[in-house]
Amino acid sequence: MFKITPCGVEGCDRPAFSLESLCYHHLEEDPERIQKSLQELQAQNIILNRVFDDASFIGLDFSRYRFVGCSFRNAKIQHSMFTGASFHLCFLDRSSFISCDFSGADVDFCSFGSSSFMDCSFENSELIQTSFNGSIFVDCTFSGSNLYNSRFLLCDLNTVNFENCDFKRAFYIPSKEIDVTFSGSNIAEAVRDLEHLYL
Amino acid sequence: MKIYQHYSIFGFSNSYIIGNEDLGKALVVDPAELTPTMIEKIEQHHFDLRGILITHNHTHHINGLSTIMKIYSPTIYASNAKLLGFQCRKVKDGDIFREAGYEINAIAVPGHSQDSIVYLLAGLFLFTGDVLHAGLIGKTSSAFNTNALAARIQQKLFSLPDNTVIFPGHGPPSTIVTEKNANISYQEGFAEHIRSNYDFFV
Repeated sequence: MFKITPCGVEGCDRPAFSLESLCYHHLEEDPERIQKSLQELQAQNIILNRVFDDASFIGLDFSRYRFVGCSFRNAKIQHSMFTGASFHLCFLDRSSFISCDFSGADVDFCSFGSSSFMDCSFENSELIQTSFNGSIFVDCTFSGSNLYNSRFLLCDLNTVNFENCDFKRAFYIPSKEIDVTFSGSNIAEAVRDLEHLYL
Repeated sequence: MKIYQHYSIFGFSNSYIIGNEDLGKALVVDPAELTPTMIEKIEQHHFDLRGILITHNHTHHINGLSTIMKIYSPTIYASNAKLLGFQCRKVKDGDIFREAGYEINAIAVPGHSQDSIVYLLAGLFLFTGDVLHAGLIGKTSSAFNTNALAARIQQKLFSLPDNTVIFPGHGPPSTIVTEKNANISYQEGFAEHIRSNYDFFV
């Protein structure tokens, strides 16, 4: 699992970024160092136990990478590819994803809680035992995904496609829903109201 | 630190193996069962299984004890004196102990069951059993108890740092900050809404 090492700058309580001694915020003062750090990351296929909290990524390609025990909390990720990537025991809470592709991803036992997703695709993904509680989705698709034992509690969903999804043991009680489609999905198998929460 | 999550079909519960690679020691949390895969994880890293942390005494969180105790000799930590006939080292609210090289804080949060206790490991990883799941608090026997449990969680767990990671007894993981923002049990009238689910045999 990831280990939180405090940023080396006195008085800063943010965690250090990846293998660096400083947090992403302080590393931003040295763009070359960030670039090097990202290159080091992209040079490997399996990324283990790293912390990317507060990072801001634009246009990165992590397709088919394997992330295990990583933290991406409060990250801002835009126009990035995670196509066919796998995530296990990763925490991506309170992050923002804009135009990111997670299609064909294999996500198991992760948390995307209180995050926001705009124009993102999770098409044909395995999203097992994963929490999206409290997240905001705008123009997103989960088409053809397996959502076994995942949770969508108190989400705000606007134009979201859940067509042909497997909702077995999933919890689906959003706080707001506009233009959400389920055709071909077994949404009746999901827990959809408080009466059935503990059954 | 290595953490393995094992999903058991028995009660659809989560068990965890926590390995300290530096010391070659391990802990297990809530063994619903002991499968060949779990044994393999312990054996392939040559871990010495030192302790078992039990969050509460419901069968689908402790059933694996019988098999584990046939193979290994760990200390069982629980708020009970005995479980399935095995002697436990009793822990109570506020206890701090070390096992497998990690500092462990025990925090009693009764409500789902009288013996419910959660464990904060290394100050960052919180094993909550059935007290707190992603987006939901544990089932209780009445609306009064649900409200009392919700208040207890707010006082004892939501006061932990926001980045504390939650490993629950069922369902996906979470973090304290997400639970503060998106836990359906804190919606007005939640306890009354689920009234039809209360029974005395939880």
